[in-house]
Amino acid sequence: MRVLGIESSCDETAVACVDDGGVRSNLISSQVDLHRHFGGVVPELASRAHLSNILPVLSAALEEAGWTLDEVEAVAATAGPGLIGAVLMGLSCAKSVAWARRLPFVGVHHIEGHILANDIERPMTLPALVLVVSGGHTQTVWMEAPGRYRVLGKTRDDAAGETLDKAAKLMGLGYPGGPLIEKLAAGGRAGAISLPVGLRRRGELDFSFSGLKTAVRLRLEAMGDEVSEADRADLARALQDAVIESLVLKTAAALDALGAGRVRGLYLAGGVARNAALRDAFESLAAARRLVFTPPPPAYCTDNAAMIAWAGRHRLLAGQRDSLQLGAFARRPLSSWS
Amino acid sequence: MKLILALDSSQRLGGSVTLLAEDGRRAEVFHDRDQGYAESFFALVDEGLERLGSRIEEVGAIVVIRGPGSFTGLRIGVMTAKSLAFALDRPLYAAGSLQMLALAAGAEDGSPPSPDGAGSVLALLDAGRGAAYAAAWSFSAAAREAIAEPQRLSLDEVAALASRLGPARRVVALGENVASLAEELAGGGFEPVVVSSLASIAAAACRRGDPWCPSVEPSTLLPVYLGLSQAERIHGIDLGDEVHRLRPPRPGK
Repeated sequence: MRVLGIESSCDETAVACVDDGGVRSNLISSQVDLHRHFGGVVPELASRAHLSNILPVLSAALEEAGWTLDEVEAVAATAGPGLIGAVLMGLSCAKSVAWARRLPFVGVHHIEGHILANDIERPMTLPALVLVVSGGHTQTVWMEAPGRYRVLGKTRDDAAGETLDKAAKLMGLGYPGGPLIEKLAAGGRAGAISLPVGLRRRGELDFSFSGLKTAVRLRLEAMGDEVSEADRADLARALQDAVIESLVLKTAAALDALGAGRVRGLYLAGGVARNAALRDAFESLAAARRLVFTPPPPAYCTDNAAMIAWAGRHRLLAGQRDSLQLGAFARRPLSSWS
Repeated sequence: MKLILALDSSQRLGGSVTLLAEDGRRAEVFHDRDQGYAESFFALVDEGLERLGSRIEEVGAIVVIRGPGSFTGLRIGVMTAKSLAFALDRPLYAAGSLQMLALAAGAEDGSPPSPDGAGSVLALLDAGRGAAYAAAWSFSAAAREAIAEPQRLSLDEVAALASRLGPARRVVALGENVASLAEELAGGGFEPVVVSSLASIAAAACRRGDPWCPSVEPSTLLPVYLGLSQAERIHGIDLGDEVHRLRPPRPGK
């Protein structure tokens, strides 16, 4: 089935074409330059920029796939969660195309898209535990099959990626912060600085990162105005290590809570899943628990439309269709969506 | 031209979809306030098509109200209209909301707002935070001239603008806040005009080739916001066209 997918839930305007053989095109128009003026994503400006960019990106994605609209058999778009005005742009475009061409339409939960990015290049080993970790989300999800999810733990405050972004801003590194922290941390010493891991108690499945952000701020204040490059590298290393420790700890807790035999695969999803140290840590965790772990293709970790088209394709092949009255949503748990 | 499909989601309330056939038959479907525009648009269009006994393929042109108005509503309307024009491969037309109000006040078909051949129209829309979007035109049988181009004004500034308009003047207002102002003006010599569907006015304007409803390029059409985003206001940054510029897509990597 040839599916056109549209993603516009945050600051990337993305359109992709997928068919039964995989991804035919996967284009992203980034607004990072726009939001950099403000040190973070500004919802109203994101919506304005999506409006200008969706049709040109859509045309380019069709061209790259070698398709015309006549070849498209179904349309999928992110329905949420995300910035509601931004989501509405991709959703309105997708519904218009579906209506005009009388094509089946499905809305996609953005988190399901991130999870199924792991399924694009090879089928996932199921049932699986997936850690979804990005600038907007941090949660552990038990997945029995595509469309069947249970959220086990989630963050009570900031997302992991958001914490990295905010800390990078405090450290004057720029935006987006995740890759900048990772680069700086590579030159830092392990254990030189100690930072806290939130909700550490045994059996606790939820995450918390707000204390970590505060600790970084206090540490920076204590360092004064003249912070050496080595100190900054040590701080970045401590921050990255604390985030990863928390992610691994809570993933392990979720595995414990599920009990032996209910999970065969372990997966990472979301933008922070590009982080090499996190991938290494998951490799070790999977080995210790005797689980199959395949890191997600980096191209499908950050927000993209290939994952939305792919998740939409799963829903369509399962016979699901959405009405064109489907609304956008800012928040909705994955468990209650499918 | 076959059916004209006109969409208006420019104001918080009272949006509508109009289908106008070549023989003048018209289906006007109003937005239900319990649902968002993005949810209801296609149900409204389907209802309009059903009333006319028509099919999607008979739509020959798309028209959209491009603002000013509610930012989110404008974007949903413009996004939907440009996507429809693209997917149906039909021409797209765009009309200003204040201009369409002015047409409703008697200038349609070039007829002047007063029997003696001349007059003026003050068009008003709610702009939130105690402000209005306002514009004024003078009309004669031969021409329309702007007295004040569309702009965002305080209600006091609107009153000052109103005092500059000569005799044979009309006011047409859409929105709760400006409605009460229009009532006051009606007591001061303005003839009030009631308008129901901006989409219907725009569909008619498109049909007769009115210069206030020009054809536009779908990929580059933008709403008329008449205002900076909140972030730009707060930070004192005016990004101008930087916000809307085309950001070339790259492959995911």
